[in-house]
Order: sequence, then structure tokens, then C-alpha cells
Amino acid sequence: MLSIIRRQGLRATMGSLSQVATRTALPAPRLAMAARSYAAAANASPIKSNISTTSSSLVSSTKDLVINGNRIIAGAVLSRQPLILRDLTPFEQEYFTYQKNLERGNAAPFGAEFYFKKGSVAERRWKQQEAERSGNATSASSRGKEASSQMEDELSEEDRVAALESKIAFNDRVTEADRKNDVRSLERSLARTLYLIVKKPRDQHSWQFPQGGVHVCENLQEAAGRELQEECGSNMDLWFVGRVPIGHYNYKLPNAVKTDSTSAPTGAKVFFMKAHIFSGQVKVDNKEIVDFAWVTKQEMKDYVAPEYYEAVKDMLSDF
Amino acid sequence: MSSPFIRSAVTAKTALMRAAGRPGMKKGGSTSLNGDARNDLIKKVLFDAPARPPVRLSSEDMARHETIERAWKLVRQQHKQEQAAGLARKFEMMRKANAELEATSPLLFKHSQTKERNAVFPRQLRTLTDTPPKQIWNYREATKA
Repeated sequence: MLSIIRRQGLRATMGSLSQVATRTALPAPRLAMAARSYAAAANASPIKSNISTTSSSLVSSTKDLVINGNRIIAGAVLSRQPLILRDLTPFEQEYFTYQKNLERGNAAPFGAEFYFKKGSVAERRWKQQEAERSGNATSASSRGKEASSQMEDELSEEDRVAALESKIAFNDRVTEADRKNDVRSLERSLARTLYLIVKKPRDQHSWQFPQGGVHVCENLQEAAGRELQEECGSNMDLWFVGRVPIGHYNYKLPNAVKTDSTSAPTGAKVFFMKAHIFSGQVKVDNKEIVDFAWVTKQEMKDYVAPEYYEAVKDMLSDF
Repeated sequence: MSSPFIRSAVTAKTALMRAAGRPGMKKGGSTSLNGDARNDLIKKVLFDAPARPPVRLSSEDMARHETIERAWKLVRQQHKQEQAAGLARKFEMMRKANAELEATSPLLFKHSQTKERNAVFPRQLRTLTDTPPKQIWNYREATKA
């Protein structure tokens, strides 16, 4: 089934390829379509991100792309998505408690003797919960008040112990990394989106998103992936969200940072590509990058230069 | 504790079942068709249980309830508007970046607008839960080849 789809797809791409104006003649058979099916993904194991390889499969170059005196740079906005639901605001908590009490107070009468088998564990647990609820309720129904006194007598010591043993222990929402405020940890601020920023060995504008020059036969996604691998190591499971850039930033190059003296680029245009990290961690190469941090949008203000923050903040999530 | 299952008026369902001639639908009768009186009890729970009593609130309580509901709707509306505004800002950034790319390099722009043919959603995208798992993050040390 999958092979039929693949063949049809291959025929379609062949057709479209012949129409596309080819400056570089790409021979068709080599452009094999990556079978990105779930079945294939199940077999793969080493970390393999979804970076496209079509444009650089044949021709590769390490020459920097400069257009009209501007270096074209690909930056990566690498985010760790939140892992837990956000905290409820006090109003939300109060409202949900109010609704729960309202529902309980106005509900149709519940026949406990029908649903619970007499003398069962579930019935014991139900009676204990009813007793607790009538104890907590501010405007308890009359039925609850009369019944609770009876139920308290019926509950024995062993019933209470049995109820305690069946309690489920949940993990803490505030982690060790939160308490230590370890900005390099990926377990901090589990309810927020964390973004990767890296530190370059200079004193002005040292913190920024990882970025690097696009080479001549590359597209933006490939360049961003390559730069991330070079600067931050390959111990990260990444996924790029499509090939479309999510933001850009233009700046004038200071004279000291000229890389290519013949074409002498005077400015730079950074195009940011969005990616997610699913596992792994950054490993600094200590050549271009000396430090890194995983920060929320609000915390980024303390690290990054003000004009850079103003230029990039709209790309980032508030939660 | 009085039983909540006192039969009041005959419901439409019981009338229908009586008309269909099902055994044991007469008042106080129990069927011996299946030899099991529990079926009767289940039918009683399903069809004869009284409806939810209508909520009676004083005018003060009603006013309070209305105020609470309005406040909730207002808070939710504000939250949704903030989310929509955030998305609009993100989209505007994306649009400007693509306009800039189109003006800068037609080839790069064409590559960026070409979608991946067999793109699938990554399975590692985790659903949000109330509390984190035991191993919160897999740091994947260099045991890879």
C-alpha cells in the first residue's frame, strides 16, 4: 500500500521537476523521496531530525552566501515546549470549586445502595468521602448532615488505613531545577516554553539565538540545522517546524567582524527558523559558544541586548 | 435514608413498554422471565428515577450567581483575546520575514515555500499533563554511535 503511494508520489515529483526551471540539472533518480512514514520512523534509531536534504544532496559548498553586501544568516529559535498544564489563577480555582459545590448541591439523588455492593471496599471509600465532604461543605444539604454522623460511627480504624494505602502519589510540579534556579536545566519551569540562547565570547551583545552563515548551496532549514549541530553538539533530538522562517533581523556588521575580505559584506540579515527539542542537551564547543541557557520569554530580557529583544520578542510564546 | 426511587407518575417509557406487553410492567410486579429481580431494579433505576429537582435560588443568590458567571466569561474572553493577539504578532513577524526573504533571494524563498511532501507530525510531541513523569527529561548522554 505504502509502495503504491510512494510510486505515485515519485511520478508526481518527476513531473513537477521537469517543469521547474533547473539552473543546476538534478538527475531525477538520485532525488529519492524520503519515506517519512510512521513505520519507517519506528525502525530508525539514532537522532535524526527532519531537516531537508534535497538541495544539498549533490552540490555542497562552504562558501558563505552574500547578497548585495549582506551576509545571509540562519538563526534557530529552539524551544522546549511546556510539559505540564499551567497553574490555575486564584479566580479560576475559586470558580471551579464554586461550580463543583453547585453541581453537587443540585444533583439528582444518588442511590449509593444500588451502585455499591454492601460491605465492599468501594462502598467504604464512598462513605468516607461523603463524611469528608459533609464536614467541609459550608452549606451542606440536610441529608448530608444527618448521614455524616451515622457514617463516622460506621468507619473503623482499618477502613481509614485501607483508604490511605490506596492513595496515589503524584510527582511535584515544582522541580529541583526550579528551586536551584538552574538556567541550563531543561526541567525548569515545566509549565512554560523555554528558548535556547547561547553566549558568544565577547562583551557586547554576547547572548543571542544560535545562528550562522548560510552556505551557497543550502536552504535556510539546512543551514540552521548545521549551525546548531556545530555550535551546540549533536546530542539533541530536534524537529524543525517547516521550512518557513518565523522572523528576521537586519543589522550592520561592525568593521572588525568581516569574514570575507574580497566581497566585504557590510550588513547581515538573520532569518530565524523554528524548531523543537524533544530530548538531549546542548554541548558547547567553546569556540563560537561558551555558555548556554534555557529561558522563558520574560527572562530573556535579562540576558539579551534590548534592541535584539525588541526585534525578536514577538516570535516567542507568552506561556 | 429514604429511597430516591419512589415511583411518581408513569413515564412515557414505562407506558410504551406496558403497551408492548412486556412482562412485569404492572405496578408492583416482578418478572420471573429471567428469574432475576435485579433486572427490575436496573429498569427502575434507568426509567423510574425522578428527574433532577429544579434549582431554586433567591433573588440575591441569583444576582450573585449571575455576577460570578459574567466575571468568568469576561476573564475567559480576555484570555482568548490575549492568545489571539499573541498569534497575530507571531504571524506578522512571519509575514515580514517572508517578504524580506522574497526580496532578498528568490531561490531561498522558493525553497522555503516548498512544503515537505511526506511530512508527519512528530510522535515525541508530549501531551500536557497535570504533573510531570518520573523521568522528566531524557538527557541522552553520548552512548550513541
